[in-house]
Amino acid sequence: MSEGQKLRVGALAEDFTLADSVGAPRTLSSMLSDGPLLIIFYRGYW
Amino acid sequence: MAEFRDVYDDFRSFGIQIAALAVDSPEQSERVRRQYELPFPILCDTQKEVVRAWGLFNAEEKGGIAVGAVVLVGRDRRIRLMMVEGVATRVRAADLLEFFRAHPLPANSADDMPSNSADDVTPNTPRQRAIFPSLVDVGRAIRNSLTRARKL
Repeated sequence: MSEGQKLRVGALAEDFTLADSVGAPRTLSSMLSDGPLLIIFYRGYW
Repeated sequence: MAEFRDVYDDFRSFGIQIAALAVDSPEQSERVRRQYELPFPILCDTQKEVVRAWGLFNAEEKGGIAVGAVVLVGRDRRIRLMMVEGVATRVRAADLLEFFRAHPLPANSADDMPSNSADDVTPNTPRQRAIFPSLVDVGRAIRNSLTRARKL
């Protein structure tokens, strides 16, 4: 179903920067400075 | 998504932030955000880097999309909880053990939580908690772990 190895619980996630829906850059480590982050991965627009 | 929107304030009251992530363009994502009136950002993994790196890439549909999943990332950037959608998904007992080791639940977890809502009557059976975790159970596990974190 999915490609590659799923990140394991306890693993260190590599930092990333992605644009949000209004084009503003969002960096994981910066977001985490405000607290834990729940990321909802979803299939996308259809 | 609407489900998470509806409990967004609860998550915030636990100190947890929410972001959604898909491989859509910002334009498509903004349509979704407006349509569902989402109070949290949508991250646009248009290069599919994050979904690949995190092992949440479904190459077989629509040119490659994200696998539905909910991942809790701690402030130290460590993965605290990963729940992946899909009928073929096997819940890894080792991952659950790791989670409960990191966030031990008290023997009687009902005593540990202020039960102030009338709908908080979900039977706290191990089967429900571990095998078919509902959103309520996830919220409860997170709340417990945060309560404990504050006490430390």
